[in-house]
Amino acid sequence: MHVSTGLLVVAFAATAAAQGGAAPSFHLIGGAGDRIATHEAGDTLTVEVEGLAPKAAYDLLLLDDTGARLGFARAAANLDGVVGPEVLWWESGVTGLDPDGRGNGGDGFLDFAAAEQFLAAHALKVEVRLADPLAFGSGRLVTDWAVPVLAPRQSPLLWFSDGGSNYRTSFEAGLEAIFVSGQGLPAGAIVDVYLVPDRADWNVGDPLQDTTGFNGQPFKERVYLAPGSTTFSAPVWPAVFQRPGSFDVVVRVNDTSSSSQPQFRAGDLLAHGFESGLVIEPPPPAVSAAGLSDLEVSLSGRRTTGNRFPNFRRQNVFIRHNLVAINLDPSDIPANHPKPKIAAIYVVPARNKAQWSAHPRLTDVTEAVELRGVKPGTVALGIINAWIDPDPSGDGDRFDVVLDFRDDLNANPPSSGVPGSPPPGSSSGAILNGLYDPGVDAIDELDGDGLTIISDPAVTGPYLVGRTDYDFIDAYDIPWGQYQDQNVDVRAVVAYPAQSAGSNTPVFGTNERFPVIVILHGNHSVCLNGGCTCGAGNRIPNHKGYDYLLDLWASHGFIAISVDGYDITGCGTDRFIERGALMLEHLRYWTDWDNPAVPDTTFAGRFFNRLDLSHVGFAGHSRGGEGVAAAVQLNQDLALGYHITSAVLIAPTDYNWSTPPGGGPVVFVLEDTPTFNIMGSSDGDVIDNDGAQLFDRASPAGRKADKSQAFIYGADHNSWNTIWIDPAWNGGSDGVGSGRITAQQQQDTGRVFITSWWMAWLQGRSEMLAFHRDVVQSSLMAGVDTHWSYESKDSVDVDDFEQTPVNKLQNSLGGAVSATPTPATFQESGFRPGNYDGSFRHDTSGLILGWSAATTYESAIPAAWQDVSAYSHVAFRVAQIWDSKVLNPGGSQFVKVQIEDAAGHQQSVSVDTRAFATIPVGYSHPWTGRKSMLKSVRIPLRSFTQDNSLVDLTQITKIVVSCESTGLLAFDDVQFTK
Amino acid sequence: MNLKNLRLAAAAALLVAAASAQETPAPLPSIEYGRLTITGYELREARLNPPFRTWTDGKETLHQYAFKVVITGSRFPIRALDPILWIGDTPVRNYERAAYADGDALLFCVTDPALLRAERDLTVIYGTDERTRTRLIERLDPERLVKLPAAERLAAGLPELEGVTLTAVGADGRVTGQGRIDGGRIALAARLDDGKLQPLVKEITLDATGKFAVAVGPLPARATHVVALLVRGEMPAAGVELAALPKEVEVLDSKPIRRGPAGR
Repeated sequence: MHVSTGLLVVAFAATAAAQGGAAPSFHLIGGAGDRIATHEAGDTLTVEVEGLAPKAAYDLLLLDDTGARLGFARAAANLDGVVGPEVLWWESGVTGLDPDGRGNGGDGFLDFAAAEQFLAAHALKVEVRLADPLAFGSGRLVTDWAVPVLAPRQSPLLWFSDGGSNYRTSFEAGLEAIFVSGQGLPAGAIVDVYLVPDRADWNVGDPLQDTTGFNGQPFKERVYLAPGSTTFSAPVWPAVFQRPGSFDVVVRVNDTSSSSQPQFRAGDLLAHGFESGLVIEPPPPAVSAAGLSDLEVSLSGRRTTGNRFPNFRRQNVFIRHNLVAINLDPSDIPANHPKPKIAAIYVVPARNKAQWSAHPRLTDVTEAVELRGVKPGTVALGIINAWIDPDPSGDGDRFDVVLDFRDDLNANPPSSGVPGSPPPGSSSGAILNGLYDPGVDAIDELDGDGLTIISDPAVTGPYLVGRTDYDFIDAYDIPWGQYQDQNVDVRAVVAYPAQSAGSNTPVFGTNERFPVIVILHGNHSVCLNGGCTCGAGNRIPNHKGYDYLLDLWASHGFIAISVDGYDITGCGTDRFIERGALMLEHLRYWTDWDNPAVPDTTFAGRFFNRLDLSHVGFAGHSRGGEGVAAAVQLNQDLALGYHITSAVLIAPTDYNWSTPPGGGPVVFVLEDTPTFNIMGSSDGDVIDNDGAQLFDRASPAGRKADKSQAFIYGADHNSWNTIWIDPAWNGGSDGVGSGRITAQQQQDTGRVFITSWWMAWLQGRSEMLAFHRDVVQSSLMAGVDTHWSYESKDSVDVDDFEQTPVNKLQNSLGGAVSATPTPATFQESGFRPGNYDGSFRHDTSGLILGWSAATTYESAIPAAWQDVSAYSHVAFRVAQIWDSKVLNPGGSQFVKVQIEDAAGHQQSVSVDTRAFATIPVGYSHPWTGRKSMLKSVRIPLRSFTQDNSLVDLTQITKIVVSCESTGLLAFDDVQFTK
Repeated sequence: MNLKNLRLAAAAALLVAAASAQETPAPLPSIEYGRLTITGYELREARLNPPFRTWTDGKETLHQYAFKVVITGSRFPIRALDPILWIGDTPVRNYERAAYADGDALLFCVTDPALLRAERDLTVIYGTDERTRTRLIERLDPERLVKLPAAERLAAGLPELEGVTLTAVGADGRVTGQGRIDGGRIALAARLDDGKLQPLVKEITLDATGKFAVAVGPLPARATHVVALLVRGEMPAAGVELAALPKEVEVLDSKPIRRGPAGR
């Protein structure tokens, strides 16, 4: 947008790269986030430097030709050796007299003319120096670069101002009118001014939603420039209509068309894409008599990949070696904050409030304490890479992120005297006070989780692995089920944390107890010759197909047992009760082996008091998965007393033909047990992905527990068991369809997702649920298309669409439901096999919404349920329904989700490919057709309150889903949840 | 090239091939689940050891004896989904696998003799996997029942299979047969050459030995078969298609009309 002509370039002699190899290269970054050739006077100067040493910390100094320091940043290079984009100079040093109207930060250029004048007379350069931890800017020079400058500027310029045309960056809501000023426009032009919610980058086609009318409605301003005039200053937002938030301005020149839904066009003038243009703050709170309170804010997260709001996704769990970025939401900072000029970003070992009071010293654990200049008159910093390569010593170590603002300007030396120059340091190196100052510094989750760094659970854990097995022939007569098989072998292989690796080595430590995992394979040939009985030499060791998991689990501190179901496998009907019974029988053995009072002739007491039998996980593959459901149900119904605290189902069946003790038939329902179901779209055996039905039924009302489901595109049935795909054991893949993943990738899904589930529920490491909530992703899962469903037990169902009689106009809370205009399809339907278009595989009912024009779906929240502040997310399940392009155009679909409070405050979040979740076209299975498989979309409620939206989570009155153009979606389980 | 060189070249080619194989791993073998290879079926009475349990309204029944429909063939896959035998529109799920001749057998256990009616379709399918749906060419024929020794049958109180077999159908309208039913009534109808039925006798009475002989009068000129029907409601009207009988009417047996001298 900013056209570069007539460059004024004053060259400095470039310093050779000090790092060896290719010289570092510099790039100027424009307001739209793109690389530009020239810095125009008045623009924010943002640079990116490539070719630096990964993870090394650098000081970036913006200097003029007199050596005066104009701007700065301290940052670590990322793993690719890149620093930036880093803002070094906000709007070319223009601050006006009083950028926030409260006397904070107005020590730069008075106006843009002054900045142009300065830049026309002075050259700029950027120095890159190795960071000296004690003295900013004094490290060894690595390289420098002359900044191409254009002054006076040639592009139009837009800025915010008060009624006196004074430059402003922020306002207090409701005090005074907000003006937009411009220069360099076509003489006598007609100028349309759109004041729009802030976003990080803009693309042609993005909606222009002016927000300056009554109650946030669009009300663009049209300004007629006088003949010959190229400048304007016009009020665009009356005080009475203002609301807090962050905003950009878009100007369209000489537009004769009109549109009720304007979109960003090529040729539009944009002020502040990459940075926030204007911050409107709420009125400051009354000062507490007890003094300043902590500024607890959400800081850590990652950039979202697209341009939809929000551009930053907040999260507090990260995988080791994955970048931690931070972003400060101005909503979190009260308007009476002193808005200092410098912020330092510390990541420090987590402390609670009391510990912080006693020990406020900040000790950073990252590559460097990042330093940034704060945009004058605001607390805006942009998105900053705070920890390039987190690699703490422990797994699950917790940290606090602190934005250390200077709270006492007098403690530091004055600025260099150059207008626009912040005071980054002193000769003594006391750049910052290095203390946490309540009320001034921002800190994440003072007594909460803060920031947690976890290891990839697929990486071998800290324990050496011992191995053993046992084999009791004909030892068990199954007492339950339709078949009650007699003389069943009790045989298993075992991996456990050991003092040394090898067979039958001692258990690790002396008195540690380890959680127990029991896994059972599914139906498969048991003999190489295809028969039903055979000698040990010809048996297919189905239970050894999970050795890769057993070893991993043992290395992470689990005693892992894989059961051989030889006698109840391969040659008869279902036997789910019997499968569950066999798993429970193994657990009975282990209960004895843990008990010193029971003589142990098998292991000679090796496991006495070493099992944590209060944390037992049951896992099963295929029919073994349904066997797990049976085991959990038997244990509960018969009050057997085992503590099966978590279940994992791997491509399970869901026959529901078994007959439990007391008669049947039965439909297995996993109750009170956190359950994870993993299954593949390319399953060529359980072709209907029956596990989806087990998942849907699990955790019914009153018996809730968390449940998770991973639907993995391209995964087959067999590859989770290495024996089942081994040609030496007559194995092979059953997979069908396109987009197949490799057996290695499929087994990695087990390593990552199942192990993290055990860690969460058997070891109390709730942070590992970040994998299941689609918050973090293992590098092993690159290229593996996984679609998640996750439902927390702590939730309120706004609409589960299960009420009878069916009433699409009322949700589960009794609130009114509407859709306008009347959609092409608007019905509640079963999502079970055969329902609607036959594409569903679920055991639930939901809503089908099809539209051919912009449509909104509203679900009202009755008064008794409007306080959702105890929850952290709004969630729903959604799937595309493929109707050969009648309504569904194909490709990923996009909806906006909005919540609104009793005062009418509202905020929308986009759900699409590039933020939060994809809603893909269902997988096309060659034998069953397209599968409309629901997946969860979980949107942090924080996203609805950020940028000072004023949305009050204690008074939420409605959820609104907005759909554009045309589409056909299935919805279920609209919840407020955790 | 002499023989020695030829061998060396062959060895070199093998080495190259082996090296190529290492560089490009062979794809995993794929398991094909398609139509089943079924060679036939057998129908047996069987003693169950251990007994087979069923529950009705929570009440357990132990079955010491049952009928087994033995589906024979080869390479019945062992997979997560069970094979299901559909007798008509009723699924039979309980089965065992066994070796049979050079192939496999699936032995489906039937405890309700009413299922084993003549002329019913037999279809095997794994779960809902339509790839495997395989319909037997033969229909169920209770006459093929292999019975246990009479003494054992008597001791066990094994029921006779319900059904009727037409033993003779003469062109003069004389029809004989035998059978047993526990409910409803037996009727006779003529099947015409266009597949439609024309009622002949509304109800047949079996004698004490389960046999009957009736003279139905002149058969319609276009009649090709006589059909025995089990009727639990209204007798179907003339002109009903055999393939479109109402649910309360079931075909028990069908026999072509013998119009020429025997043995022709």
